[in-house]
Amino acid sequence: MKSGNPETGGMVPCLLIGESAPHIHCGRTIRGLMLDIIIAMLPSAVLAIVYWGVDALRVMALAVAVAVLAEAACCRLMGRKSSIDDLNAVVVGLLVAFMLPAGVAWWAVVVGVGLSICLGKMVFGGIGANPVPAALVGYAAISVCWGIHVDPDTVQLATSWSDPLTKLKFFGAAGIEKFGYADLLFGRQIGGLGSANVGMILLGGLYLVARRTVRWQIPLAFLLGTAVVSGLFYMAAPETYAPPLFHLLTGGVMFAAFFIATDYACSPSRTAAMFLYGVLGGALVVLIRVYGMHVDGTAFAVLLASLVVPYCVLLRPKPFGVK
Amino acid sequence: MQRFSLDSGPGNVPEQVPAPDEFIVSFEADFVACVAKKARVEAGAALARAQERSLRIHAPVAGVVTDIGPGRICMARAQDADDAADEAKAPQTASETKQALDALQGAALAEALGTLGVDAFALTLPAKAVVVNALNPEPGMVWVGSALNHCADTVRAGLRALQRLSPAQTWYFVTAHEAGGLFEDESLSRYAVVRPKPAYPASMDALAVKAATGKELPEGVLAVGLHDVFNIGAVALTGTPLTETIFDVAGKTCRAAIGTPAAHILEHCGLQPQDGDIVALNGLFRGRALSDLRHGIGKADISLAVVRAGTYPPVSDAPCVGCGRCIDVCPARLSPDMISRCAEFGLFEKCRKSYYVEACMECGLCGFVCVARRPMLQYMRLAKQESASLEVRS
Repeated sequence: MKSGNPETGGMVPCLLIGESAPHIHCGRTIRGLMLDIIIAMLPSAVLAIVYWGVDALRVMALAVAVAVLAEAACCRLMGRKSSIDDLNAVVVGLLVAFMLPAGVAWWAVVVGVGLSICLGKMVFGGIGANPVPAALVGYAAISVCWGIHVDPDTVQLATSWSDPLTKLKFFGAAGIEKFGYADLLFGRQIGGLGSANVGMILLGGLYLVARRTVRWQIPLAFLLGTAVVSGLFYMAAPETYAPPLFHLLTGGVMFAAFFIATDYACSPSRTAAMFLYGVLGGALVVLIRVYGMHVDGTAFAVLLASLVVPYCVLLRPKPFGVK
Repeated sequence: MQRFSLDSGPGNVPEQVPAPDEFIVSFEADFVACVAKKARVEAGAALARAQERSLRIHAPVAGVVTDIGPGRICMARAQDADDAADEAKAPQTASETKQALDALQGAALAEALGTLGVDAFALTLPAKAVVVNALNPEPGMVWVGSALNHCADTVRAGLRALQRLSPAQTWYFVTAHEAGGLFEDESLSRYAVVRPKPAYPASMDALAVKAATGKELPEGVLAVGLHDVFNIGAVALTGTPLTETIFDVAGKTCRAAIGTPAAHILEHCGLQPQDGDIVALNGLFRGRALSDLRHGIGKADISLAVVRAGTYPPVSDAPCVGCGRCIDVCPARLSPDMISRCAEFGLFEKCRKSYYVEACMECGLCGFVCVARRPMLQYMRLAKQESASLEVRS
């Protein structure tokens, strides 16, 4: 559109943008949010490299590379413009890597991340359309199909640390006595290479909450759900069950609360619904740990909680003026 | 400072934009021109009139009609029409008209105001209460403060005329400003001043009504913007046709003759648009982007703003990621995420039945916060319009 009229307005003709309102914006973009999430994961990633050396770096680098390549390939197959520059693929790749032990075989990383991107995200149409957190799809698939190759107990052998949840499962409350909370907080336990660094995950999670990249309600409700339900078990039989703080500091609970359960596409956005969803996920973690066959039920707890989100979102207020 | 503050403080004395050489006077679709091309018109002469109503639009200065197009008349200012000539708009007749207006009420007053260029017909409809919305319509605007502080006489005249126009019994004045001085006048004692938290979107009519009455969309309550009151006041005070308007340019209140091209106003204010800029008429949240700087400012226009190229991420047709930020900010407690998705795929029935899109106030906050930079307000408006037409058909 040529605009302006030098004869009348005295202005130089210029090309104006004809955009729809609003003409201003808060400045936050998907790419910015994803960058925030990556920044929040950095402390734990660095600690993982400190603890596990090049093994951890290998898993994270491979996961990110596979995620980006898989997304680029999917976009090409779907005849779409590539969406890798929104950094969501990097985040999904890192999330999967964080749940895997550092000693995991390369092919398990490739299959897990590939499935997360292709079956967890792109098959539904890309970012925003996934019914469950994309990272969990690949992780759940490989841990069900090739559990022994993904289990930290069988993969992470060259260490004196052990998996507190395995001890709890097979030796009861007596098996976890040697674990101090400080050890658990600083990640001196085996588990997911990133998710086991509970203190660093909490730090990153608080950064995300402070930046309002994720809402505080979901992590809080998730942790509350875990704490309350495990507290009930502990109160009933302290000699058999672990105390609530143990559950919060082991496995993927902290990681799931801040990084997985807060997945934008498959978590609710209104306070009541967020609390219901979070508490349900947190409670399921404990139920799976107590009654299930899995040592750490976090991934499956979040998967199950995601499935009820369509019902959670029905908890909404009446719109303005609607009677 | 508070986010989205609508409290602009006292504002500046409205700055007069000098008359340009060319005017572009726009009008609505039901208007017909009452002048011919190349005709010479005097200042204040009717240029066009509405077919069904007494409403007219007048020449801002003496000049020659250069072009008559659909919805607009262009005129060139006469070289001999200096400011002194403009001032001499037959003061005798004006004071007579003013006295006549002061005696009129209801529909007769609306008719008379119409012939002087102010559309006040809707204000005569049956109503129990009237809410004057005297909040700056959007953050960053200042003209309300200027009008209340520096043009109090005009506002008072408008408020007085409003009392004679509407049959309402209860009167509210919703504002963020110290409006005490305005109501010292005894004739305005019926107005109750309401001061809600002055943060956007409190300036939405529906929210101003709620602030005043405590109810959501109550029946029989009429909301009137301060700009309309100001225009009524300008005519009631002078008795001359409405040929000037007050508006906001980049945080400064200006006055200009109706029909002054946007290019001229922006140049006067030192805001030369460049390639790729957006020139937003009537607000950054809700207004429209001008495609042509030869848009003449209209009597209902409230602001002009320039958004420089590259200031904000560009709008895209990206899918919704479900972050829920639009849900957080929506004053109508809607789910703009779901409405925009339904609108995207043409599911307008669902927008209405499941998501109550008709409750949308079109504040534009959903688009402001959308991280995917989706054209949210456009989707909301589309959904509202399409679902309303579905309702009419069914």
